[in-house]
Amino acid sequence: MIELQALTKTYGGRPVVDEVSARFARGTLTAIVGSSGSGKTTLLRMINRLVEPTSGRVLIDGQDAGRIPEVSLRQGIGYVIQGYGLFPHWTAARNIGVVPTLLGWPEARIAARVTELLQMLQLDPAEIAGRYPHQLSGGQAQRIGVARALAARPDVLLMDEPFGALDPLIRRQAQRDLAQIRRQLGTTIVLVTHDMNEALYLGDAIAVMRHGRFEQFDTPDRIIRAPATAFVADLVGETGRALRLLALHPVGSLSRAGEAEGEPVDVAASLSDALAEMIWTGRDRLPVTDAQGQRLGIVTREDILARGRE
Amino acid sequence: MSVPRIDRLSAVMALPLLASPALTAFGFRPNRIAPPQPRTWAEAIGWPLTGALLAGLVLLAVALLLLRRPGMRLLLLAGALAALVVLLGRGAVLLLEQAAPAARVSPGAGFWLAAGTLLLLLVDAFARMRPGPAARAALLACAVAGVAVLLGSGTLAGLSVAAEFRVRADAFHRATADHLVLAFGSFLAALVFGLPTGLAIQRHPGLRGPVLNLLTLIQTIPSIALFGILIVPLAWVAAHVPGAADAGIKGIGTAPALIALFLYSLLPIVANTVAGLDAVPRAVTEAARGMGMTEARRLWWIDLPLTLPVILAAARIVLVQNIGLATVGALIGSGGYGTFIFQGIGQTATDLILLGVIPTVALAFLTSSIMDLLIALSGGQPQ
Amino acid sequence: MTALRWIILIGVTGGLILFPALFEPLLRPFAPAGGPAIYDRASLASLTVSHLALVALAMIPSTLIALSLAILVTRPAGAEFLPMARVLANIGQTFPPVAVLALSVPLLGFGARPTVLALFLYGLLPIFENALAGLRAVPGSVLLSGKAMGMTPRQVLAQVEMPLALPLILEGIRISIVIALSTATIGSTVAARSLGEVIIAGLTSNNPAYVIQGGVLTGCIAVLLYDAFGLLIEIAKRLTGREPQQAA
Repeated sequence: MIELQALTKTYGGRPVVDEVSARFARGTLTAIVGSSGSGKTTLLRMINRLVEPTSGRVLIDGQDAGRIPEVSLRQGIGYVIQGYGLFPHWTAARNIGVVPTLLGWPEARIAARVTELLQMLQLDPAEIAGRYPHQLSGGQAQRIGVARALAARPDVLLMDEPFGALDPLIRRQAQRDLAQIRRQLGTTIVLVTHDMNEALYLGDAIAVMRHGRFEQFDTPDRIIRAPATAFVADLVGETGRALRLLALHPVGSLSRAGEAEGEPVDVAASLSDALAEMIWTGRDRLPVTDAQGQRLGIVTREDILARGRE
Repeated sequence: MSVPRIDRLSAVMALPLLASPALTAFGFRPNRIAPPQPRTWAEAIGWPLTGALLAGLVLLAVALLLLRRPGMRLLLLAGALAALVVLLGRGAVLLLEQAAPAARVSPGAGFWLAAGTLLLLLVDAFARMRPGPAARAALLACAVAGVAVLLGSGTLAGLSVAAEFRVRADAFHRATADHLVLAFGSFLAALVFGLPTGLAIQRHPGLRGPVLNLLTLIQTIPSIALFGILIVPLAWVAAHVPGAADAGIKGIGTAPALIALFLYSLLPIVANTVAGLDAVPRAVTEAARGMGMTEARRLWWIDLPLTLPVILAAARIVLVQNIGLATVGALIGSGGYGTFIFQGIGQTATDLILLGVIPTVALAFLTSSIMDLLIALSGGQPQ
Repeated sequence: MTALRWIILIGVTGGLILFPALFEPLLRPFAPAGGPAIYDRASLASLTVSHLALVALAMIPSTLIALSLAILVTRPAGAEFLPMARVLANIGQTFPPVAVLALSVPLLGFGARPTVLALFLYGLLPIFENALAGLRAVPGSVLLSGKAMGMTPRQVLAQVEMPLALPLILEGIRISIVIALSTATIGSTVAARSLGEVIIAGLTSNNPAYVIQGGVLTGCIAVLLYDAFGLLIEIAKRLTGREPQQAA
């Protein structure tokens, strides 16, 4: 768990982060959304002390981060930045292995960990491990950046616009991959983004940041349903609110017993995807299957519409 | 409201400044080539003035530690430097008054240390002001005017270099003319030849490697070697081509020096022209083409204006390099300030060496400052 | 093409140093009637060795000091000295090597010492400038990552900054060595033993054969060292993964 206590950073007397207090629960992904200059990156960097707080504290699992030696604190926290900052003179494998090397892991263990991470991120170790950063595509470089941050199994992962440098198509895929792997990891993730859609898609909790303060810190559902300020409402957007809400929930949450015709929908797909499918194929009920293709039941249009009006 | 933050650079630079009076202020020589005997400030200008100097240095050091505004520092340092130079001139005159007519006085290590430190701090203060082109031009004009007043007023007439100059004024003016012809003449020739070459090889990528390799090769050859080797073909031309000798082409002298400097100048000019043209954004070129500009119009309206700062940067490199290398020409009889330097080395006459070195460095520095100004005005990054 | 260049350079250099007599027929036409065509006042081999020794003696401390300074002014503690260092380097460049050489003589007398001092001083600038450029060119995101991964400042310097700056540092040393070779030639005017002696002897005794001999030899050595450093830079770039690998 990460706890921020009245965390403040001022530059030349001007507060960039202004007495922010919050708790990010263990194993959750908190997305911090804000425009540039809102203080979100500064906030993130105070967690691994790349920026020293002017006042206030960061507690990680109850321990004051300010009292942990900088170097060991950072070795225990994964960090992914926009543009990834891969070391251009090292191969992908050496980039991934940097923190384990700093920690003095034996070579065989590092090699095994590198292979494991590449496989988890769906990269072929034989092909990718020996490549230098300039030989990687944008998507590959992004995944190497994530693998490097995860290499020493950190309890906390900080991500600063990790998808910002990707083109939209690959970005979608990378977001999906992150959603997938974080379930396997159980790591506490704090992700900074300016993209509300990304935050809604990935976040268990969302903090909307403006002028160095949290305007609202809430679940995605509440952010859409009950924006605390005009600024939050503006970010979420007035139109399409119901569809956004539906996008947050999986088909599984409304699955019921019954029979339906035609192409089935995956239990993990969102309700908005299911609705779109109904409109497109002219059906009012869809069969629901799990990942193995096993029939689980059906989902109906009435149920989805009712959920969207809640 | 709290303790003022001390300027760390000044803290370091205060040491040589305060230590300088402990070193020799003047070198006194009974004649031109005798070894110098040390003279302190007190021996030259007497205790009252020396006391004022010491107090001034201490006050200056304290003021520098506390004063952070670059503009104030600049004024303070300029004043201090001027005072130091006036004291130097005064000391030289006083030392000579008691000595035989052949005696000479030159600045010693202590003076150079103090003056050098002040000059560095001055330039640093100026750099910290982040001056625009106008401020740079103003400072340059002030510096040139200051030096001119100093030389014209005879303040420094007691110094040995000035004595050396009075003996050789005619030779000095000839050397100046020769040096300027060598450095600037070869530069102009390289410009006339190098710009079209740069344009050509930028448009024909196949030529790029061979031409740049050849020019790099030339630039690698040590200067005396190139100067010397050129003597051979030029001597042959002078002997065998009718009229060549009458046109001033000889194996030794100006011709081989001019050609060598011309050859050395080509690489920076050609390479920078190519690099500058390469750096013209594709979008700009395509937009120009899309508007229907002809090739020639694009060259004059788009490519050359955008490449200008890079070409000016090359001109700066070439001019500074040529002014320095032209001294070597003296070894093959091409004249210039190098004549004094090598004669001075031969006679172990420091004054004569300085008579060659000082104008060479001053010319190089003035030229590079003016070029920096032009680069800044053309929108490029000055050094 | 490259191989041919190497063969010619090594052949001419080696031949002129070890078997100067072989070149007699080639140089004879340039020598004055009845005069010697091959320089015989000292062996070219010993002059070459002392020429290179001058350069090495100056370049080693030059490199160490210039690198240390460049590292110093790019650390937070030395940042305040950076503008001054750049100004100094910029002014230093307007000092011609000959001036530095000539001014060293009154301080140190004649011989190798003023030459080494001049080569040392003049060698500092290109190495410092290039090292500075190399260190400052390391992308901010890479430095930030190093720090964020928990590297100490010393580890960031040794494992990230220096390897990335290495090609530019080598480029600076290469420039300095070429200048030093040239200035060492001029060093023979202050009685340092170097190959310049051969050229100067040719100039003063009106014997173009000497001038060609000395000139070609120093030229070849300079180009040879230049090329050798080029090779080193290529290797450094490849080792640090910034040169596209050659297709097998």
